[in-house]
Amino acid sequence: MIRKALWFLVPALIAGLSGCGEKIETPPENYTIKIPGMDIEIEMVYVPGGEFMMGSPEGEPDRDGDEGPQGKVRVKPFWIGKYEITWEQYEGYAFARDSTMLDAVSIASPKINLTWGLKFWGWLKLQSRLMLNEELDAITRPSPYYGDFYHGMGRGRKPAIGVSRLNVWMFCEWLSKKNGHEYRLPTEAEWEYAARAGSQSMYCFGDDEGELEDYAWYEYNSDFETQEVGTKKPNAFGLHDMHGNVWEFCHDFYDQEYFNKLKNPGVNVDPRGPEDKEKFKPVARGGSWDDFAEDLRVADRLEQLDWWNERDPQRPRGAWWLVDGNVVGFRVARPAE
Amino acid sequence: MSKKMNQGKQTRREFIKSGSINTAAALAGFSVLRNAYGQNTDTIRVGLVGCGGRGTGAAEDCLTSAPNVKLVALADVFEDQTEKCLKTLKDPDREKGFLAGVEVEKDHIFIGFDAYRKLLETDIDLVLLTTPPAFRPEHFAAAVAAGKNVFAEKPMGVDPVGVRKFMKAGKLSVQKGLAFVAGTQRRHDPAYVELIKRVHDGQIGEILAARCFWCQHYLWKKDRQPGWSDMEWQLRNWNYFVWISGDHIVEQHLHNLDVINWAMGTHPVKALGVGGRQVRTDPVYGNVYDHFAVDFEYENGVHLVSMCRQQENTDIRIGEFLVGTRGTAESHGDRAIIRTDRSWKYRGEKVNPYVKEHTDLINSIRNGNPINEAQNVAESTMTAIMGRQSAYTGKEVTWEEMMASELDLSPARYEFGPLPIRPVAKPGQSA
Repeated sequence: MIRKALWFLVPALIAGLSGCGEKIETPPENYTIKIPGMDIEIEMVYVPGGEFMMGSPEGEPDRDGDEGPQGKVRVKPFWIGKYEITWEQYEGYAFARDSTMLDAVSIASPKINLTWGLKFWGWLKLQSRLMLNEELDAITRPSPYYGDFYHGMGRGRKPAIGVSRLNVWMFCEWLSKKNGHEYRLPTEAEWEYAARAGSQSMYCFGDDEGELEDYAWYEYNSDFETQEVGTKKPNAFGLHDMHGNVWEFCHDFYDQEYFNKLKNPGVNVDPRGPEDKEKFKPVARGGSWDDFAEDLRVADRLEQLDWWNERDPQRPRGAWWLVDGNVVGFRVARPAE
Repeated sequence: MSKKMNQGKQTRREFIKSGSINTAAALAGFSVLRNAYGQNTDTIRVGLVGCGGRGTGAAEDCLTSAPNVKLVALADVFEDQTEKCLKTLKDPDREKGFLAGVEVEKDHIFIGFDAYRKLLETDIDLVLLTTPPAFRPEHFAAAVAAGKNVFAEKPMGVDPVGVRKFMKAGKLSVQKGLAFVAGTQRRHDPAYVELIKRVHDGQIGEILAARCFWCQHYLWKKDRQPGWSDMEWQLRNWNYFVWISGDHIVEQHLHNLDVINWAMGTHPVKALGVGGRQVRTDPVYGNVYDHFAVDFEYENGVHLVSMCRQQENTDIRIGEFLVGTRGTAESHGDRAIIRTDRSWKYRGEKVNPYVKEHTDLINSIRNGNPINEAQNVAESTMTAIMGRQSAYTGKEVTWEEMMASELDLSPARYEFGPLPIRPVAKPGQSA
């Protein structure tokens, strides 16, 4: 098994030595990712760095204990998806018979070197126990799932849902390889900064729940399912669906003590929660089509729920798909520096 | 599915405030212990017949469904299956931690086509029948004759002769006061239970029409190995042989047909179906079809349109839909919804139905009030077979014809050796 693991890393080493294409500077403005040979376009919005108060103030209605105490946070500039990743975008990665697909992990971004590969292998083996000999391409492409991964809500411009954190991570690796830049999920701090878009209120537009239906798909107006992305008003950064439609996974993992670990007073530059996948569960932000207004607040945080993959008849559970994770999706980010 | 679907936001906040580490687990509502146990907690000794992936999963679900349950005997046609099963169940690094209650002695592992008989001679209280479908009627009949309670995976047979044998054994099991639960787990899923209750309570009015679907991509397949006889190759790829699986309309789509029958409170009386094998045409896929569409008719004139497909790179749809005089009801596995002038979506407790079905079964045994689903699920199996036979033959098929049909797909002998494959059914030409 070990020998096989090493064997699969050979291309990674070669790629590491030869480099993976030259980086082309991207001006600090909005742009669109285009995947060669595919009809996939992902619009990215430039978010200038800045400072904000992260979390919710004591006394905010329906506030949870894990949203504070508020801390002063500075984030560096980054790009973030204008919309949540849709099925038509995700399917290009997951289901298209892309002949370079096997490269996605082994060559991926220049950052993938032997150490990373071994770490990844160890994690994968532990977490998902996928057998390399049978499923070399399962490492890069999700394993088949016999149920309805669209959850009966349709596809196209509907957000991709029920994809596991591993699956999302792999999507970002694939995108990085395809585009030549580092894509990942936004950190919680980046996500909240992007969602607030300069506001310090409960929602990006203020505190009036009555306005929420103009900005968000949620329990009140969603008709029991996800809706096409970008069909509600954007926030001041031009980002759609930061409130509602689907919960969005973040790069770091859930720590209930996140805010207690911030410097306070002081400025926290690009803080990150834990990244230990063994000890912490994924975290998601923003609320969904199935949630009530209070769960759509900018500061609200959700730790991945066990029952999202409890019913998965496959073992290991939830390696790639969250059978009941029909409320969770993601959008991608790219650091600017 | 909202994060507050259970105890509500208030409770979640309290968990966080009180510093509960495992907020999500507390919220999840998957706690097995929540399901009330009966007073009686005598040991339930369990035997497993059919030790493949689903059988192993069923054993795991059964062992975790209630206290004091022990797995004591295994039976399978293949020795490697029993070995793999035990290895999986006893794995100390098991995903969900050490599994208690796996106490299978070597002399309680039985191999071969008659292994189930030997297993039924042991002092088990409950047998899990999880072989491929072809064997179900005989195994169930033998289990009832031996006085055992039964959990059986669906479907309950692959042909009319087998299903009628199953129905007969089912009646006997009721007379004997034995419990029977089928692997049609939707009947144990609180979301479905609540949805169907509301339908029965008339929330959508009179049912006018129904639709149901299981359209998905391909299933798994095992490449033929040197040394495998026809029989072994077919058994290890049982999905693709009509005599073993009944075809996917019976083996898989049954789930959805069963929900509509449940809502209707009865089975359809006739069917007109189409189907065929368009994409999955390679001989390695045996003789099953890759798609069916069937119009079923119930006695009261209500029609059910049913569609199932296993074709790669096609659109997926899995669910059940009812149209009533006052609204509609729908279920997608993870969402149960009623749309009327006052719409409703299930927001109650989330329970793993694969475990819940065993909890219900064991509780019913311990309470002395055994559940027995044999007839219902047998009728749903026959419903699926009726649809299949209509598609295979191209003729309308009635319930009476099925209840009188002598169609028996079982092989002349159960032994490892040559086993020719029946030709793929051709509508208008196949009987």
